[in-house]
Amino acid sequence: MGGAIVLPLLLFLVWDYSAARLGSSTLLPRVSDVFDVVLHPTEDLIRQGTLLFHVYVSSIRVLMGFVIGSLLAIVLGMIMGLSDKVRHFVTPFIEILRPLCPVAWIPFAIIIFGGATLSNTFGYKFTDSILDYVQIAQLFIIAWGAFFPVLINTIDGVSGVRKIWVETAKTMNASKLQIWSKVILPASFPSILTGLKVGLGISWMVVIAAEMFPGPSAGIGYLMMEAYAQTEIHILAAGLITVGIIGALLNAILAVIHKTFAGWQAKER
Amino acid sequence: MIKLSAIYKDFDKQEVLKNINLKFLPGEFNCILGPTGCGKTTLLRIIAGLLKPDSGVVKIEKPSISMIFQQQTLYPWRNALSNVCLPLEFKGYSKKERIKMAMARLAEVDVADAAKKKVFQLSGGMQQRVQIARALVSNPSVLLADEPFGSLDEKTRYKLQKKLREITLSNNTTTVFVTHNIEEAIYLGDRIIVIGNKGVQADFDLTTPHPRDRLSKWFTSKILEVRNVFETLIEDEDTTDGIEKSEEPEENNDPFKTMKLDVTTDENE
Repeated sequence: MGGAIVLPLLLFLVWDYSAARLGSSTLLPRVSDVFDVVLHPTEDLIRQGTLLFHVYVSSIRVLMGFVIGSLLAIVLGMIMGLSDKVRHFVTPFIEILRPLCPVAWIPFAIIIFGGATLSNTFGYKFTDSILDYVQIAQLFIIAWGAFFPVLINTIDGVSGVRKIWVETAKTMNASKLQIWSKVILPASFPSILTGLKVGLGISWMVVIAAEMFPGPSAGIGYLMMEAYAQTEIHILAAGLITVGIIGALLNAILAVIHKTFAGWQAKER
Repeated sequence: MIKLSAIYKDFDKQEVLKNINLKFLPGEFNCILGPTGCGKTTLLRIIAGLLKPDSGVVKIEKPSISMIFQQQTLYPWRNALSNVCLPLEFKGYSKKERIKMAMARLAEVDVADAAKKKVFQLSGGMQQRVQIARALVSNPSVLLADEPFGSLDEKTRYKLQKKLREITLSNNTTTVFVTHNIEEAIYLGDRIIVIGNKGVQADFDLTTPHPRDRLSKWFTSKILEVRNVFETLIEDEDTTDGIEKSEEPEENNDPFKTMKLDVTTDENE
């Protein structure tokens, strides 16, 4: 554990030394200036709201897009994993769409969905509601980013369930639904969780990119672009560090979930 | 009662089962004996409804079947107790009833102390005991066993043979037990059916009461008698066949595929 902080500390030392030598905060800010922003997330930044607010908006966007993309992927992955016919029919289509980078969809999504937010799409009018900040185009891109890793891992997980486990359940007179819920789902869960882990990472990366495009007026990506425009580079760097910290935290949470619910797989090997 | 009429089964144009006609009476312990590749497991899987015969009919009176497989089939994401509870869960028993019945079965096979242990924490012998408990927990009228003690050491095997015989006797369970071990078949069986590639080759009724003394004169003479038939069978197959038969081929990964292959059952017979 101690060794894990040596490298970042070394990096910060080199960074701060270089910044001091350079003497230009618009080129390379001091580490203390950057961490001043990160450690005071409730302070207003360049009249664009607090860091905490932007993290909250980005997180809601990621959560919604990730849940939509993952649920669709798990349902389709289950069907494809269970049925050879569906898998053979859908796979070529999936293989064409899969290599398309989610960020490449941004202009296309803006053309199709425009600036529509969840609020005005579903006819709700809120004042300062978080839904006013969640655009359909962003959700589409985030969901797209989460969809494929979850789909591929779900298919792998389901089609890799040991035949003997299913047969054992059949000899217990289990119904198809019982076999699915008590055998196939728990047996494929470790693989699905791996997909969710990768999908969440991609969703988080994609939201930052989606927020840098014209339209959104909140989110860490938006804050970083505003900081860049106003040459407040220490805020831009603080945004980058915040993104990294949140990514690492999400990864740690998923690792705990994996150990708790899918730890049996590692023990079995 | 189980009645098999004119069962035929081929794999890759290799005849594995040929005109099998058998009747298993209620409460009878039947041992199916035969050389490797003669179709013992295939026959058992046909009775279990996991495989469809090419022709012929399987009729099972009051079909409440349970099966013990040769390999470890406990679900690794569950502990010993919840593995044993699973057949009762499928049948809709309450949690309280499930635990009570499962604990009783685990105690019967002397692994009640390991109820909360995960599968990977159990030894091979303990895993097989838990599998027996799971197979018997719902009081099946028919128990199918596919060489369940094949991978165990002699001491554990003897203990589990004795235990299984006691339980099936006290529950009046109709048992079909596949083995290639002559001594095991004589120790356990009320009846030994020797099968080869020409179908049923010999049928022995063993009336000596249980538990049987492995060192008795009757036991050793029976071994010689059955071995005589067995060896003649292997020699005949070596001279007439010359090709080793293929066991059931690997099927595709569709876990529900074999569910469509239900064997005809008749509750009214």
